[in-house]
Amino acid sequence: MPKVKVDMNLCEFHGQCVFVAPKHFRFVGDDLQYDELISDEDRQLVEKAAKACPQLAIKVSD
Amino acid sequence: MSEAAPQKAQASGCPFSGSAAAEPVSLLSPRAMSCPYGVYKQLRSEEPVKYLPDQNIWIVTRYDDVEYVLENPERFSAKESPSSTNAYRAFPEALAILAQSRAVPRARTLMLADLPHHTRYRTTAQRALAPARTLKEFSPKLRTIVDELIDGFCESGRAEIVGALSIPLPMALVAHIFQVSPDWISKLKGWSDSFFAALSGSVGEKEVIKAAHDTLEFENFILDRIAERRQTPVDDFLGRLIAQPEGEEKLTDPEIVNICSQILVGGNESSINMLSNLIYLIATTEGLQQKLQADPARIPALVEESLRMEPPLQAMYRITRHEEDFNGVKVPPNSKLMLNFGSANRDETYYQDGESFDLDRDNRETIHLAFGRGIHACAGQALARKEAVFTIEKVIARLPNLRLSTDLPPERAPLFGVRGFRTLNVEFDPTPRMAPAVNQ
Repeated sequence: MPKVKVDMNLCEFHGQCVFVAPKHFRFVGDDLQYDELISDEDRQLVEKAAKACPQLAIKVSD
Repeated sequence: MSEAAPQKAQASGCPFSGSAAAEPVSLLSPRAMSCPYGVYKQLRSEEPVKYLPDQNIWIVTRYDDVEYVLENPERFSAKESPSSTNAYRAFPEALAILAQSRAVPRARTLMLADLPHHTRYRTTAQRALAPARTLKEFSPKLRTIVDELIDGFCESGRAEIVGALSIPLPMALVAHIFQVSPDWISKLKGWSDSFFAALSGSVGEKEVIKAAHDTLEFENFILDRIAERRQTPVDDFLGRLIAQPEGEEKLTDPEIVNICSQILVGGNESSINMLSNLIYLIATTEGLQQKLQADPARIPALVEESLRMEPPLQAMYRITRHEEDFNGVKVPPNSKLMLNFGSANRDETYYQDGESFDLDRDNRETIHLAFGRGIHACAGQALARKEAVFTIEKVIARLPNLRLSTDLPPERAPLFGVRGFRTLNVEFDPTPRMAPAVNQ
């Protein structure tokens, strides 16, 4: 399964990932939470969210 | 970007809604300046990567191609990204003024830098700008400022929006970032306008010489404040810019000045046009104001759709490092590309009926390129979005029946590549001032 990693040192809470892929990224209070493992079929959507990140803080890997 | 005479007669509207114009491509004709989208559509369908010999530029108009260039910074240099020409180079007098600078040799950072150097600039500048934190600190104040600005004209039932709202709001945020009192706003704005004019190229000697003088003034402004913070550390934008963590190379004075000038210009120029475009859209779209009054939660969707349709910055530039092949169109190394966001954002491959405004459009499907993409994507986009949402919330609540002025038609921004207004006169049903709370 593809893995997702958000570099929280880079994350500035722009919220673009939550906008693009709300099922995989969400704000809980002041914190960003996300699914660390995603299905192959969701990979494209999560990669879209990674692209949208102004901080380039999101990495998707195998 | 080139200068063109401001258009009065047809300056206001952009009625283009889909049928491609059957005439030769001219981006600088009065008609195209007023409404470039017909020309863009024609280019997307006929010559999506087209060489313009007069400007010595290749214009790139399809979403896929623009995105490809933005996402491959190792193949495309950004060192002249904001303009088609270097304004200073042509004027020895301006260069002589710049030679007196305390911050030499001049540095090219952020949007003017390529990998690998860019990473250090971007990381440091973004950490210093800290959009999330800035918003947390400054959002309540920003909302109060919107109310105060609207108080300045709401009782009269009319306003020139650019001067009354679009300029002062982003400038208030810029003043906050540099931690100076509002008295500095006109000075900061003067510098910014001067730099922007020079950046955009195709301006005359007088403007370029003024820009050179302003550059020295701005350098002194920044370097004096940096010196204070080196004496006594302060946890603000400038303070964080110089407070490099252990083991990281510190920014030099020329690098700091260059980053700050980009934050200054980037913090207001496009935001101003974004706000004016939004208000124009509300004033000219039947029923939109009522929809938003009934459901203010849709304002963020309005902001995205407006950014998609009318990106304030219509294009940025890149230089090819290698020969590139865009679906059979061969572009030689060292060619200048104009990446047209205004066109990509309406590309029919991704946007159904992309020439039309649609509040219900799901802009998550294909994210618009108004803020760019990749390593040079706008660093302040979270700030811009919030400025827009706060402003429109108040406009919707406090300026009922908003419409264009009947006697003073809007005037478009006179620079190619900039989508916005020089003046935007509106009318509305007069409303009382608010009594602004002192400690908000």
